[in-house]
Amino acid sequence: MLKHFHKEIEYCTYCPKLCRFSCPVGNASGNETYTPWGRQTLLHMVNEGTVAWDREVANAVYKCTTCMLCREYCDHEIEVPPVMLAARTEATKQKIQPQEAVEFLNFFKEQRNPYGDDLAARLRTILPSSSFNPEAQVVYFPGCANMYNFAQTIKNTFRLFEAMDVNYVACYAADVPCCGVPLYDLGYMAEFKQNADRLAVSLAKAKVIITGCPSCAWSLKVRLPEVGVQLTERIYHITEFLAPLLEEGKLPIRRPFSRKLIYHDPCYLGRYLGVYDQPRKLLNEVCREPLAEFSWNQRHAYCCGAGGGLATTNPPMVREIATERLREVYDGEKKALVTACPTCLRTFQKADEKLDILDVVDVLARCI
Amino acid sequence: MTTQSAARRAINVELLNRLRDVVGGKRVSRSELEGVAYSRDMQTASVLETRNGHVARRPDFVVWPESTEEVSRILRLCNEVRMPVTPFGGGTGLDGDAAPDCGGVVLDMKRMNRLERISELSCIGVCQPGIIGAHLEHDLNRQGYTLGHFPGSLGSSTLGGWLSTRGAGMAATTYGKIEDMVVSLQVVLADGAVLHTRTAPRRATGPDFNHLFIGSEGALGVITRAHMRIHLLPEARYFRGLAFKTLEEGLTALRLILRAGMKPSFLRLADEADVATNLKALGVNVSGCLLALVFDGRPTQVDLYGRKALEICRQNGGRDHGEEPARVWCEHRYAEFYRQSPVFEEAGGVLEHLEAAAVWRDAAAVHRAVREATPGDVELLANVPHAYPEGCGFLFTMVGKADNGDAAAFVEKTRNAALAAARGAGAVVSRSHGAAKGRGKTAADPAREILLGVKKRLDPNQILNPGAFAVDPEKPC
Repeated sequence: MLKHFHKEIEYCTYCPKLCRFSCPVGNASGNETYTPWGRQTLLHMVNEGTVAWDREVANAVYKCTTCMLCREYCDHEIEVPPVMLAARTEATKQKIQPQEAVEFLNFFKEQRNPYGDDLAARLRTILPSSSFNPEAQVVYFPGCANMYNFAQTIKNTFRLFEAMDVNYVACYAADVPCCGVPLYDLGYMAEFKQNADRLAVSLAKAKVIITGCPSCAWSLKVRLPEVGVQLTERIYHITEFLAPLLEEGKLPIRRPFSRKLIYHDPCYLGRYLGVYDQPRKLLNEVCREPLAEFSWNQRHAYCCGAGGGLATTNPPMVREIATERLREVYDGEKKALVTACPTCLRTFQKADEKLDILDVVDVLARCI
Repeated sequence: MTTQSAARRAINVELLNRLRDVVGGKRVSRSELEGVAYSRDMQTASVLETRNGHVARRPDFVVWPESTEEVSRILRLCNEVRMPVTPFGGGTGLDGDAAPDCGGVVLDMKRMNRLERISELSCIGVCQPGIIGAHLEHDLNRQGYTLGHFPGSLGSSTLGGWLSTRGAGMAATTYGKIEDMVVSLQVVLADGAVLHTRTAPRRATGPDFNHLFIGSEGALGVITRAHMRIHLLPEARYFRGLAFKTLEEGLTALRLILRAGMKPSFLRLADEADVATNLKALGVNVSGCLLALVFDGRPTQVDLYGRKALEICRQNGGRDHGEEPARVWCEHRYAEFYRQSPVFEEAGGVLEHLEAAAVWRDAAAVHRAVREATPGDVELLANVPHAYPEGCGFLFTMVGKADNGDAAAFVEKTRNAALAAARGAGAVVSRSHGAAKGRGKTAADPAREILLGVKKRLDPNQILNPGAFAVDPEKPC
């Protein structure tokens, strides 16, 4: 099984766990089986015929947030998440995936998104009809996590566009609301491909796509081509789009943001898309106080816990990971948390309902 | 089904329910799957078993306690039904000490993973044993401190593991080995009793009980809290790389540096093979042997030590290569441990680490003896990772290939030859981390009877890590 990942599986199996400390699931559970080493060793044992490829092993390969932090500490640059994702695809083919993943698929098939609402209709209540233009070549793709949870962030995004005289961006109508990441993460490649094909139709005219969610940006940019769907190559996260405009002086800052902020690097924006500077530039431009940093930041930032489908398969573990990440927020002077991913935002909100948490876009919008 | 296994099964059903009462259902596992991750540490023989697809042993349960009280209740239960208990940290030891040879309960301590507090006044960090080294050091650094313990396994091993194996880190010359860093311990004994040693800088009130448990591989008690000496982060760091034609010259220079009272925080005296392989891979280009010196402290102090050390090295044949070799090595000091993966991935490939310590009188002879005892087709790399006024330690790395397919036999033969040679030349073969297992099986060891007496008194039912420290080594279970 997974012969094309032979090197990854074998290297991790024989490694003295040099990335052990970086695994959010391993840290939260304390369980060796749920570390990169543990999961890869299980797959090695499956290949050796010692361990049966069954529901229990499949359950272990789902215990990865795909955060890719382990790669940052691997001199061989082994990427564990692609192995786990491939193993999940095998699991779904053999119908041994976790029950939560089965239920998720049924739900998704019914609703065409992970949240269970008519998100296209919801989006039309968030923005005026003038924000939609099916012929537009520059399209804002909000992401279903934003549509469901953060209507204000979407509104704020368009307020910023307006304030910067960016009148050429139209909102995606969300007829296919989800980029398909949850399907991909849970190993449903056939369904991901179906979703991707539908996206190809609804985004066919877009020459530039701006997303409100890093996972969407990665999915549209990298994962769709994996299943033969090539959208425009010009796909950006909102912070990538806004930062150059800021440098051109197009953001009219009327009042600085006065509260102390600490910035959390989302895994898919940072380690996957390589976007570290743009959110910081934007925030530093509008904040009165210097931006605080987590001690594990940028390439070394820990995950919020919700990536890789873990929010579906193991919500209590996600909460534990998020709570651990938040410990530094409470240190020293009072701070609000800022990030650039709706999934991270929602995860941290769930971990601490009292904590003040904002999207970069929300911070900028308060300053214009 | 044997009568014994039926009896064990009956005990297990009862014990499982009682363990669940203590820690809840989610922190006890009886999955056979855990056997893969918890059957071994990084002992070469175990890695080879894994390569061959074998799971040589399995725990009956893995339990994740979160407090001293839970550990106490678990041990009381296990003691009652004579169930073996093996404490588990990172599982990165090289001697098989964390492997549950007799099955039973593996007590994974990693949910007791906090730096609880720092006493700035006393420079003490109060730590739970399951904290992973990289997290502990990171948490201390954020507050301006360091523990000063940097084993190659920093990213995976735990404080409890270091204590239980009496480990040495790469900065042991300055900060000491782990035993030098302990102020006091909290230990749960086999019957569940909790022992606190006194928190005091030094005492003259009889034997030091800390040292009874440090290095005991969890066979005398389970450490659940440690007060550790911590140090302010250094203000300045001085790097210097010196090349020597021979290892003997390097050893002489190092001995004189230490005798003059200067303690490098990090050092590596690499022999020619180590330079040509590990250091060259980092981009360090020197010929011969390399002494990499790093001094930590105040700017004037490190500058003074650096200049004096440089002078001593030059007087003893050292050629100054500036800061770069030492800086590069220090920044990438864990890089060599990644080599294990490609070696084992290759059919028949093996890699083994050995550690030996010797007084200066014997140091050069130990290095020579191990080299001479190592077959020509085995790559042998050696370096001195820590040193003291009276002697130094050697880390030997052997890389080879068992062409006939019996890698385990090949490793054992090669290792035993090297260990015998080292002993013959006057070394104490400490392996890397701990020796209780070795000690338990070495009948000629005069200290064995004393240790057995202690074991019988503290753990009369021999439940604590019986595989590591058995009263009868032939029948540990």
